[in-house]
Amino acid sequence: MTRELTRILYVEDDPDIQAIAMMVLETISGFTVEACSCGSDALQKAVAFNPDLILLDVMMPGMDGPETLKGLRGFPELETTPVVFMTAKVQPQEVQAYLGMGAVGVIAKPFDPMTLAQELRDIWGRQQT
Amino acid sequence: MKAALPPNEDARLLALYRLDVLDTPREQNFDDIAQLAMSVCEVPIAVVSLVDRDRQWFKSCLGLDATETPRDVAFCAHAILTPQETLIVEDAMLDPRFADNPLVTDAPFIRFYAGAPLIAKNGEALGTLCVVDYRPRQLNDLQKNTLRLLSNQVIQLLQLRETNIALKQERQHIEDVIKGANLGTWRWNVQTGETIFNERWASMLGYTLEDLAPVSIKTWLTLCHPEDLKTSGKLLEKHFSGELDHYECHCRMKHKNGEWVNVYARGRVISSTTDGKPLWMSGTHGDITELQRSRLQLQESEARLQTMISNFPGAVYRCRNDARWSMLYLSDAVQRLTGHHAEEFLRENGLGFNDITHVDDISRIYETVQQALINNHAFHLIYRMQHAAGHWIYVQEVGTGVYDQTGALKYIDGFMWDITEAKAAQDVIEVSEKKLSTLYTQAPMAIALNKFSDGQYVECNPEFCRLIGYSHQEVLQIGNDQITPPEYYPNDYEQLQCLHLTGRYGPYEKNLIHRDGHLIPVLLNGVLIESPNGEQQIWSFVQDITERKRIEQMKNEFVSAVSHELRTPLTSISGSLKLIVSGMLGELPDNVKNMLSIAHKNALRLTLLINDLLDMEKLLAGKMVFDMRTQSLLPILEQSVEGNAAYADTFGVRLALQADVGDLQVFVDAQRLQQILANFISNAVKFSPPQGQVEIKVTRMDDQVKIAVIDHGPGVSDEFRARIFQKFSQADSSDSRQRGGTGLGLAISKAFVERMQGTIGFDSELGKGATFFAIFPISISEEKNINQAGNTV
Repeated sequence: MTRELTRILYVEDDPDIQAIAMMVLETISGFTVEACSCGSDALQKAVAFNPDLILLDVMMPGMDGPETLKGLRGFPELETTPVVFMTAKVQPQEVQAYLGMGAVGVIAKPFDPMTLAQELRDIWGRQQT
Repeated sequence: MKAALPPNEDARLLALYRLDVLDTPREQNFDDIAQLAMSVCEVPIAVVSLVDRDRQWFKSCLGLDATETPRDVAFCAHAILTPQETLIVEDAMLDPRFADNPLVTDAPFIRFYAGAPLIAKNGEALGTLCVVDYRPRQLNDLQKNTLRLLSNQVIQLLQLRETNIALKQERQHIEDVIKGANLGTWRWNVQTGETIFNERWASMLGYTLEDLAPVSIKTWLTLCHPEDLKTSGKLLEKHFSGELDHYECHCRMKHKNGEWVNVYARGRVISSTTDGKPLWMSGTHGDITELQRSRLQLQESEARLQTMISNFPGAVYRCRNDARWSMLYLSDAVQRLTGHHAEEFLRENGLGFNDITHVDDISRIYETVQQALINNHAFHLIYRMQHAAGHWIYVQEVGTGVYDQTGALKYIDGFMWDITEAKAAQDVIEVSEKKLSTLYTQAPMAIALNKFSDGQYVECNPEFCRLIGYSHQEVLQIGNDQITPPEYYPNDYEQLQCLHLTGRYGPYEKNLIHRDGHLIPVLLNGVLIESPNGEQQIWSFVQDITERKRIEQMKNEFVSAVSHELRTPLTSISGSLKLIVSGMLGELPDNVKNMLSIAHKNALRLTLLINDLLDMEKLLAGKMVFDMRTQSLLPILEQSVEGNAAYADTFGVRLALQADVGDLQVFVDAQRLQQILANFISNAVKFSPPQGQVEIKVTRMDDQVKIAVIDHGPGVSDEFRARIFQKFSQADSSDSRQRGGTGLGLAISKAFVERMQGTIGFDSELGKGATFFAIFPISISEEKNINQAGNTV
């Protein structure tokens, strides 16, 4: 029995990109999205939001993506929540490195707003099976 | 009674000894005469007795077994005292001289003796022919007379014998001489043609006399050279006519081995017929081939020497060791050298060499020569000499003293030649060498010479030493490998290959290891040369590019940083524009939508440009990682065609994949290969005429596969060919706006292909389109083998 993806915790420091992604994910695709502008913001909101999936930008000032991931995994509630990285660094060994950290997928930046929602659903689907 | 000695005893003995007959074997002639005497006188004993100093010796003795008796008891010793008479003892018993003779009183009991003296030329009685009997008797007159005549015959025989001996000795002597001289001899009967040769005559021509038998004058006629026969004939006639005292001729005779033997013939007529014609002629033939050969060699060698002296590019001389070098001999070539005739130097009080030698050189020459003469060495000089025409020439001279047996100097032999031109050339070379040497030592660029075989340094300039921090001496102890990081070995090898094939290498960038361990980025160029001893060597020009590299790195880092920074806002711009243009956020008025579409398209182009810049930067910095796998080529191609079909469609161009070679395995990074193909295809599409077709064609070439993207556009112009794979190159700067693209695509593609062990290239004919291709080695992968194995199960 597969559950539908509905709640996404989205961490992105660039407000414009965040806005575009929110537009795609919330307004167009109908997900419930909690947007955070930095790693620590995410750590504060994550447990309460109880996301199905966490979408993490890699390059951020302060805590970067991998550090944030580590922090999130510190909460028992978030131990198994699927995490997807968004990054411009998508060389094969870089992708391998993210997957090695426990990410379930990597979305290349700049992302295509037309396909972002579908990509997340695909990753979610693979996770469920 | 003992007989007295004859008054001429000494002369008598001398005459006897000269006959050289004593103690010789018996001879029939003498026995015959004794036999005759015995028969005529009717006695049992006849003897030819010769009276020696102390004995009588029998040359013949019939009827008595004896060869000699003591002279004391000899009847003959008495007989020779009366040379003119025959001594007759009718009864020895009754003769007081012999009555007590042991030969009478005892065996053989002689009673009768008659001895006719043997009288030599000067009247000496040498002995007797005597007859003896055992009983008393008498001889009648006939018998006495006969005995006397027979004794004369004996003396004749003895003298003949002596003559024979002398003749024999003479002949032996002649033969020895002939043999010693190794002469062939001949005796020719001019009238009959009968000819006698000696054995040497035959062996001189490689034969034995037996080989040539029967010999005659024809033997000579056959073996002599026909031309020489004519000459010989004429000379013979002259000899026969008396014009020439003897016949003397050089002629060639055919040796058994076919070669010509040079013969010296000499002879003369030794007897004539009664009517004055030549009868016998005798002479010799001597083999003078060797003699002639050595004479010829001597002549040749002398001629050679003369030719050498006359061809020698200078003068040969012999002079005295005096203050003015008085000339004893000077070859004619001195005129060419000095402009003065040899005669001018050779005549009394003539020109001296010091007169034309540069005044500053005279004493140095004298000292050098004297020093050499004292040490018995050759001397070697270079000095200036004034030519008759007035100009100065440089002369080189080599000479040596010639000494007699006591070690005293006789004279000086030597030669001198003009080296003005060589000297001038040498001066020019020296100046030029100095110039080059200054350039080499002062150059701000490092220069080094290595052996091609092992990279060992042979030479380097000071700048090279400074660059790598080693002393000159240390550099010569090391090789290229010691100052090259191992990761450059393959590249070094490639450059060596290039050097081997083309004679040059570079420009080639690499790092060298400084003595203190830090890396020095350098740019190398070089050429292959052959050293004078035939060794292959490399001249390398090493440019220190540390500063350039530092600036390049700064630039790259700057580009990278800027690109990253640009990308973030671009992501927002293109993302939001796409959302709006897609209509997802609601319909827009057409004119607004058009403007936003333009903004979106350019935002995308900017993104691509930045992506290319980042790729390039990664490539240059070596940060790009390739995910190399052995994989099927066909799916990658299909994906590329599919992925670019929409883009082609916007230009109205059709993509056609032609891959009838079946599936092949290649060892590549699939994503990069797709990027390469996307570059090829987008270029091809951009340059295709509307409704055109771009073919993606795969062909197999032995163990390689060629992937070609073919368009039918305008082709590549000649001026663009050379820089087509360079960064930021586009055929026309206006193209980037007309056709889109960054000008980095082919440069990136080239780097990608080469990083994947492939080669990139293009063919194009202006006006007929272009073909861009990449060639990769086909992999025989284990996977495939396993798959094939699986298929058969």
